[in-house]
Amino acid sequence: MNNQKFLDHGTTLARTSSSRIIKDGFFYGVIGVATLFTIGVLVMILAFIFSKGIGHIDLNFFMSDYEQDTQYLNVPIAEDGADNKLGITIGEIETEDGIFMGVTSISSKANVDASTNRADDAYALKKGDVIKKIGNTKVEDFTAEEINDVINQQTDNVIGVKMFRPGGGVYPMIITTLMMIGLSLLIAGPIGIFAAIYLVEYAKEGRLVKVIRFATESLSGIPSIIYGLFGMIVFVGLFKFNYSLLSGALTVSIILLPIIVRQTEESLKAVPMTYREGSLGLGATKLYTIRKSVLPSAIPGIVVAIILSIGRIIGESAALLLTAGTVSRIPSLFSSGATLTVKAYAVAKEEGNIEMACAIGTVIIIMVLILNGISKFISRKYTIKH
Amino acid sequence: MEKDMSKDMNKDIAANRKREKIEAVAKAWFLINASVAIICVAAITFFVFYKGLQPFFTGNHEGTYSFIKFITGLEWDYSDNPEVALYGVLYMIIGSIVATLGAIVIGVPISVLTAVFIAEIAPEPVKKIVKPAVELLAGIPSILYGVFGLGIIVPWIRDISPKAQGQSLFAVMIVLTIMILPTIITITENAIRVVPNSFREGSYGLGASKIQTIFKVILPAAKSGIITGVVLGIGRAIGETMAVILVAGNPQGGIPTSIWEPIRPLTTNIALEMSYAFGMHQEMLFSTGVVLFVFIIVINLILARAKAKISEQ
Amino acid sequence: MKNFKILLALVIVLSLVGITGCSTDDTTGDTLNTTPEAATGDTMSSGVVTGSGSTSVEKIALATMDEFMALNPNVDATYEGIGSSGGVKNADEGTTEFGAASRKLKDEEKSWGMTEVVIAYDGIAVIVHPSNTAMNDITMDQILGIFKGEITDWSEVGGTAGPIVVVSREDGSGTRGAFEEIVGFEDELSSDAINAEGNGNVQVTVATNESAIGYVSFTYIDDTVKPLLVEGVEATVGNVLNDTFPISRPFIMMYHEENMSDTALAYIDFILSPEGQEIVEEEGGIPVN
Repeated sequence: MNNQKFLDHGTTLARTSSSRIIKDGFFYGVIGVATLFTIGVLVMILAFIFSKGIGHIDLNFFMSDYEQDTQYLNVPIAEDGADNKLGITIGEIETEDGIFMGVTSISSKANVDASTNRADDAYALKKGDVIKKIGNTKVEDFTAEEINDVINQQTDNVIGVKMFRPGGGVYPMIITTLMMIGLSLLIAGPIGIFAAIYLVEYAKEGRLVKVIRFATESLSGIPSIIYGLFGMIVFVGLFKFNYSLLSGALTVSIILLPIIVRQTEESLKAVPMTYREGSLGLGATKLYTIRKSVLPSAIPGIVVAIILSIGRIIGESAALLLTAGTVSRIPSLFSSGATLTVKAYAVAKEEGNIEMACAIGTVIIIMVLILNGISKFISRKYTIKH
Repeated sequence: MEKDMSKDMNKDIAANRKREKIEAVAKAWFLINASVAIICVAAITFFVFYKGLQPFFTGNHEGTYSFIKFITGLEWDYSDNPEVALYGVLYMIIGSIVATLGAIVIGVPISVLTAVFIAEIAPEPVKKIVKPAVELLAGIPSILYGVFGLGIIVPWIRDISPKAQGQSLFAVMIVLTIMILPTIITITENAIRVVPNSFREGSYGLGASKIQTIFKVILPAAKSGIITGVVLGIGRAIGETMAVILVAGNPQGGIPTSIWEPIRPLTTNIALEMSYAFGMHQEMLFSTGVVLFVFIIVINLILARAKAKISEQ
Repeated sequence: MKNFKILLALVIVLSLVGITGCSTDDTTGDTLNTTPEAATGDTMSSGVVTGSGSTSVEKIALATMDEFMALNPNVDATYEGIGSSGGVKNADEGTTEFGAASRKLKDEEKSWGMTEVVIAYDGIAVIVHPSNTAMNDITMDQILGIFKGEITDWSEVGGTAGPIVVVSREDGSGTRGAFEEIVGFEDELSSDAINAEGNGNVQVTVATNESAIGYVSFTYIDDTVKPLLVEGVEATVGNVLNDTFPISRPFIMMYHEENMSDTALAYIDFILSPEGQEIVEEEGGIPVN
């Protein structure tokens, strides 16, 4: 049948060789334009996000909190301070909200590491901290020299300093994202892998398997906003977990299921039958066979499944917005916390801060690039396919 | 001696029983895990429909609303006063469908041609650049497409639009087009790649050029794969929320009469007001979710049908 | 079955978190037993304070919490900006100890019998694009007409001819609720209006569209947008205080007494204290009294 088709094509094709070159050229052109469009779009997006965001990114961006942290500290004086009794150098500190006077360097003689806060907990004064008050004197509008004078006028061995550590960083969101990844994989990983084992190693084609397959397919087609609605009624409302890391992770786990099941299934299927037959032939039980010979050879595929899942968690926003909330702090299991992507959305909408959103976007894209690279590396190294 | 042997045998039998028991438990355990997906789908469907359909039944303690008014309504205007609150979604449904169709019309040709380039034309080094680029496009979170749309596409449309604002149906179409590209490209490329080489050789053998082979032989052979990709693309486009919330304009009513007018897709209606909503208002947002869900179910059924056809072939 | 699975997963997760969680607590550094001269108050609070509500109040809530936690380092205070209506609901249900709204409570909400505290006032500025030089002044009637969709061209209100793009906040927003109530077009917003989510989004939309008009909390005004005089009165804190600027609203925190810990009450007291009000002012709010 197909051959007949070819013959028909062949006769018509051969006749038109003169105009063919022009036609072919045209189609090559169209294909080229389409591909250039695809690449062009990507380049534009990357250029936009990187150019807007890159200015925000430095070490502080990764290391500091999003909100500023104010403390009243008791700072012991230095043995031998140069500029002032505390052994710190005062200068301009650039923050999200403007330029303030603060600590630009700390001499080796300083004792600021031994500072304590109001609860007598250790809280070391650090480079980059903004100084607001010395003793009872507000020094916010003072020059560096004036601040040094105020410090040197203090008579005690321990000087009261009100300071704040500037925010504007995404450290809490990075940790929240990692926690979300860990917790969701902890929930969805085993379920997905076990499900795939059932489908490949135990199930006989039949109604149940069909239903399971259909359910898994359906899960991957449901938009994340619907997952968000579901998580909101069930985990946030019904189970009373509130907006929390846990509600978010449980919701995301369902989203991950089809990805993990499908990938693991593929890699289990790729394990040659001879492995199983050999093991079973030697008298091993099915469980033992799966554990000792099937799973180990499927591990690269499972790792790829996990990497794909991580990518999905990093990119998720609609479902998490309705279940995990937008607080920019490191959450506990039962409290709200924003992942990087959710925060990118929150700053874009609430603060209209496109630069910050793009800075977070830059970090996310770099993470995605790294994940894509790793998964490619693993697949290439271990594929038995083809 | 005999006694010992029977003892050993008993031991063996006991061990065997134990092993069988473990095997049975393991199998059951794997089955339970496999069933989680079914339970999840059932639970999601149940809860979303349960909550979303409540306002249409009399005796709902948050109040009732006519389903006809809901599905044919052209205005969405929440109010604390239930007498004047309007929950009409028809204009959102139209907005969502038109935006999705637009994205498909623009996006499918581009995606299929890009896939053709990757699978059939590109030399290996070029492929090594284009393919990861498509993968990266797939990995960029949707919210970043939204930020990009707000920063670049919306101002651009404002410049060329007869209207004074850039938030529009057209902006949504463009963002959705970009978003479905990687989905359709990846699936089409796979479909093209599994077309047997004998097809190509046969075509060349008959004197066809590469382009003729691609358009007359390979693409028709990969048809069902491409259709799968398109259906998945439709699903992705209609369900997309965060990428379009910033560029749609989200007006409270009105069917768009041109691509320059703002729309309020079903998804953004939910995301926009959910954090404020409670009582009847919240239920109506779930009802919006139900409408969206029905679309997704239909799309999934079509997809299942398409896949069944593929496996038949 | 699913519940069981989740429960199982929960138990595992909980135990893991429990193990890692315990080890990080109880840090006691070298103690220096001196009271800071700068700090006020002798008794120190400790514990958790949770609040949620208006996004317009968020800046003030976070800044006062930061200071409150500096004074009482053993306090862990959080605020989640989820919108006024959500905050009122959360406070009533006890999901968070207190809620915050950027509008007056509605009659239904009042009937829930919560204690209300006005912690600050705020003005709502009507903003246009800075290049819209023809427009400087607007009347309340004109605002009403524009937002109801009756006035659609700038020439009708004394500007350069051209269509008006109306930018509103999303439904349920406290800023929108207050604005609609004061201007007088509740539930009558033009259906052509763009609904932008969040103060920031309104500000960006107006800042990037020469034909746009929108409204934001005073705390969001910067040089990317131009606030109009309303009835000839400039949008300043002073003019809200002397009651000449017509569009202003209270920031309210509300709670059921029985849900409040001593620490949470201490926090509310702190906001109302002179130091607290000073922070309110620093964050762009208008202090009470």
